Amino acid sequence: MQRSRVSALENVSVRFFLVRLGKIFFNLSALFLVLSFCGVLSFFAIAFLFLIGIFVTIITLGTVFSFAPDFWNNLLSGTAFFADVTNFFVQYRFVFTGVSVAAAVAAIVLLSLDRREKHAARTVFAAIFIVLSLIGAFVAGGLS
Amino acid sequence: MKEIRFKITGLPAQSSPALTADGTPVRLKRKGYGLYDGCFRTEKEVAEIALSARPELSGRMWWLTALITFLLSVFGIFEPPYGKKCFAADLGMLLPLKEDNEIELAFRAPSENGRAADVFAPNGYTETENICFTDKKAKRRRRIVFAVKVLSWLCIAFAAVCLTAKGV
Repeated sequence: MQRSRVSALENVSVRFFLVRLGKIFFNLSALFLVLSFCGVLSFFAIAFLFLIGIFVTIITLGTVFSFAPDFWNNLLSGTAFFADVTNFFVQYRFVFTGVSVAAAVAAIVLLSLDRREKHAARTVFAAIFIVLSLIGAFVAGGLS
Repeated sequence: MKEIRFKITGLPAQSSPALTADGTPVRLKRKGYGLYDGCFRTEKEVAEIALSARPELSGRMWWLTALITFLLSVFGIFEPPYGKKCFAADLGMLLPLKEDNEIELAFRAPSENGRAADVFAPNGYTETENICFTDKKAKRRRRIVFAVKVLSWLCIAFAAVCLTAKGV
């Protein structure tokens, strides 16, 4: 009796481990999905910065240059920084996408191995992460 | 063939019970929050039921699993936390069997050395064990894992500061 109880508890320990691994891979997949989208987001940040510059110039009717003569230079140095960030993320987009997809697949497999609990929400979100990270990679590819 | 249908309710989160009937593990399916269902068939007149619930860190290879998950989750950053209250429960009973048997184990709120669950069995039962207790071993292990995590974060922060200072 005691032996059967111990072996049943060992099965539970394995289940705990696999579910924990599945959850970790799910979290990693979400992180790398964000990183794979960073290229696209930082590109939009440059556009947004330009838009702010134009907006401020129009609103102040150009008087902004009288009290901040280096306004555009400062703005352009900001966009240069964002351009570097965009380049970095676009350059490594396939790495981020690959890791995100691999982690999401691992999460789906590990969580579906659990026969006791369904983990429906995490499994569905992991599938969505796969699609989104692939879309992110293609959009970032289009930007480059 | 006699059938026993199990219904377990009120199990706290992060606890995964191991149920055996006559020494055979019974597969449990989660039906909702803290609610599990299971089924077992036997030819015997009396079935020996045992249920154990242990915290996650009570396993034999806890150090290996904790290490693997710690490294994979980038020093524990992306790891779900371990359960704070390391409550464990042991239940044992002898169940006289008819053709159709139903047993419900309604878990109580965990209390040190209190009863783990209320048992409802229309055909009657003989209780051999029903206790809830703190798994001190698991609690100590949880503290060790937490200390290692904090130490490693401090080491990383120190290394980052040193490298930055060197770079400057």
